[in-house]
Amino acid sequence: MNLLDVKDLNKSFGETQALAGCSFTCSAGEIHGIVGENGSGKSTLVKILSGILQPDSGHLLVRDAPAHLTTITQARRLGIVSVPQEILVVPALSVLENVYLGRGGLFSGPPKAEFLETAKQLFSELSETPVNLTATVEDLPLSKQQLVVIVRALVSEPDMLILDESTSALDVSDRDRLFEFLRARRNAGKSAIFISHRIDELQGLADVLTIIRNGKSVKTLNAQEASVDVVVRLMSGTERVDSARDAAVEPWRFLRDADAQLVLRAENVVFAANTPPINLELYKGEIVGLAGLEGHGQERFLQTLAGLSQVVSGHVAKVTGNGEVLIRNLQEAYKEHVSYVPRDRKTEGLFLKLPIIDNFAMPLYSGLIRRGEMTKLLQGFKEKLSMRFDNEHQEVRSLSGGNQQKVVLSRWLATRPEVLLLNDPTRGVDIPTKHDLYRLFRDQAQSNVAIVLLSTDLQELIELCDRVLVFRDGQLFSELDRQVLERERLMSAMFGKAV
Amino acid sequence: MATSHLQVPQSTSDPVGLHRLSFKKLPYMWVAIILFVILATLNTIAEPNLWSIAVLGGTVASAAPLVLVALAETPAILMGNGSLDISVGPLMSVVNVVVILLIGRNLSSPWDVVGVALLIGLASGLLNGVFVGWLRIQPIVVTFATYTIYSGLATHLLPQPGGSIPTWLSNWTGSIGPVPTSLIVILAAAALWVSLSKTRFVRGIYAIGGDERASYVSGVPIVAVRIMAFMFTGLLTSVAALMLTAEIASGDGNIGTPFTLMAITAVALGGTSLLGGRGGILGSIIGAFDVFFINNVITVSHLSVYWQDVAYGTILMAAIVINAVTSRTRRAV
Repeated sequence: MNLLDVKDLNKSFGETQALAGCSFTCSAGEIHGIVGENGSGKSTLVKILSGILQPDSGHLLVRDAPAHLTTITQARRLGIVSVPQEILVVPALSVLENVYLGRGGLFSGPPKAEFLETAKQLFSELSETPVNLTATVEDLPLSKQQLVVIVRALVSEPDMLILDESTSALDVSDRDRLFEFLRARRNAGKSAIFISHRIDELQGLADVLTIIRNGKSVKTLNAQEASVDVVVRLMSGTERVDSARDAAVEPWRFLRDADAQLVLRAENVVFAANTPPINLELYKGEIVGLAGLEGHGQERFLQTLAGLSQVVSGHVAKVTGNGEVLIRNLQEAYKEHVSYVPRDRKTEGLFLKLPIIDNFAMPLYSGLIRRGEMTKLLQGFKEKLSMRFDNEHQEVRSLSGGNQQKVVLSRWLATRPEVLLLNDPTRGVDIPTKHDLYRLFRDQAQSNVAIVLLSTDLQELIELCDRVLVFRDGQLFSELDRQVLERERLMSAMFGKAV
Repeated sequence: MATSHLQVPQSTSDPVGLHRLSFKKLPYMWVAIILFVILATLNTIAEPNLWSIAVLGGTVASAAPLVLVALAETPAILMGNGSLDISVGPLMSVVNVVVILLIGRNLSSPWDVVGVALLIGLASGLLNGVFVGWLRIQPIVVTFATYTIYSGLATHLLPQPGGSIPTWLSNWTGSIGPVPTSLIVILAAAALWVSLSKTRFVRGIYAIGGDERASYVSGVPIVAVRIMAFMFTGLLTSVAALMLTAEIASGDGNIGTPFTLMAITAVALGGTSLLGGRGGILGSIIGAFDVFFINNVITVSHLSVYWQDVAYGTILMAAIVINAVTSRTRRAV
């Protein structure tokens, strides 16, 4: 039996056609992977399947019967539940209340004992570390908040679970547990649609893969047989694969020889009590990676370098022509051309309701604003980064995630930084865009910018970094040089095994 | 494990972190409580008989309209994103005037008076709620429109202040045994909210105020919750208006107007975030007593009339700033 038939869906927003002939079939007990670039219509598809949007034409069959999904609750009654891309939680409420959100009658009381039991059960199955159901969600690390959103979808035991890029913030171990859980569900005849930018991840999990390009379903493949090359080509059309490939060829590599110039020094930095001090010497043209499980200190360290979080002892200093200058807050960092690009572009990186040009030029504005100059500068970045937008006065939130990230990055590049501190810059970004960004980072390094890159994508760290610092329990656990950078080594270091 | 690693270093490391944590442990209305203690002391000095049953009953009765309307205002503000109801003051005028007119036409039984008053409140809340919830118009715009309409309506219905009230209503300012009747009314209103507080309705108010999009994608019935929240506000505003009518024992088309700002002030003072999702009615009740006591202290302080407003504003500003600053650090943890 087909659990879900999607037939020739079309949906436009004004002039933009988000979906143009999207069809696929998902049978009961199947994990269906969907890949596509950012802006290819995946999110619109998810919104239609979960009852948030209605298609302009085309139809949906649920268990072979036509279905018009008009509300989220209606979709849920048909057994279709989706987990959105963003981590949508109510920060001030407890974990349990966040899981229970949107359930029960208007005047029904608190969740029943069985509900509590189910939620507890799910958390203990999906989380490596115990999650306290009465804890306030805002006190949890981002990775556990994401788990809360996933559990919220799973408590109703849906026949069809749609995960829209919703595992990127999870701890590696929790992600593995989730995949195991999804496989077990599959064996029980329940289906899932899994949207991800990580093709390797999809290959391990999905049965079939549907590729979407420009709102159209291009092809459905057997997931195990699909090679990464083929998928990338189908996803992006041919012309962009080349650019991805030359990013892989001839990477710029930094050499720490006698000429290497020190640019940033962290000396005996202690940001948590009872942990040994951390030292870092950062050279011009070097890319240093930061890795670790969520919440193990790597993010605090990056923010310390940026002057964003306070140290207990020690200091961070920028090395300049006339000696060292301390960096104690973001203003001082900015003055010394140390730029920090935050992780969450929606809340920390962008002014969502302002036009692209303002988002781009905000730190450059001083005195009278010279619009023409800014526009020219932005155009330069637009070409260099292959950004896609019609004009610079569009609201920035109308852009796809990858393009938004490019706006944030070009903003800080335009300030001509000497040190670039990146907090997971490619999270939730599609593969061609990732390659655009990789090329950009290498270009920057080549022109003598020092980069510190915090990433949750191990492959990215391996490809880009000259060395990687692995954090564990709030301390620097090990440092891996380029020669020894391997996935397994990184993983075992993150989990506290010495290598 | 990951959780504890995130938390432990912060709590034990920088002194600023410790500082913040200690604020987090305090209840959200702690500024209002401290202010309450100070003001109660000052009031006791000014009026040593304050704590005798007779005087206390009178004090609670005078404070009751403000306390009730602050309670009413709370759910509207909790929904966040600039949500609030500024029509509560003039709505109190309308209810006050209508009640006086009813009594003037000999419809003075409790059933008639209380019933009509509550119906007016519910209808007004429904009106506000439909515009805000269903048609998605900014609450401040909608309730400013109804504010203006009610102001005009109340003065039109009763151009000259006047009228009288039946004994059963004036008894609301007295006491039953040692307990002030007005206190019973306040407790009843609070009990209504508390009994609803575990329902999806009230949790929905907090959820919408905390993150509207998260609520929407989880299937919280946003429109229904908004409409009902405004109806709750209207309902309790009517109770506040009845209490006010009992207190002033006559009708006045302008009597309610200042209550809008006092109610919003009381809610903010009580620690409820104007951004929504945090706070509650207990804070608003204490906040309302604070506002009442501030007025009281200033009135008996022999300050010139001109300086009274300045002093009032300054105290409020200080309290609200402390509240805002500490709640900000609380959230930053």
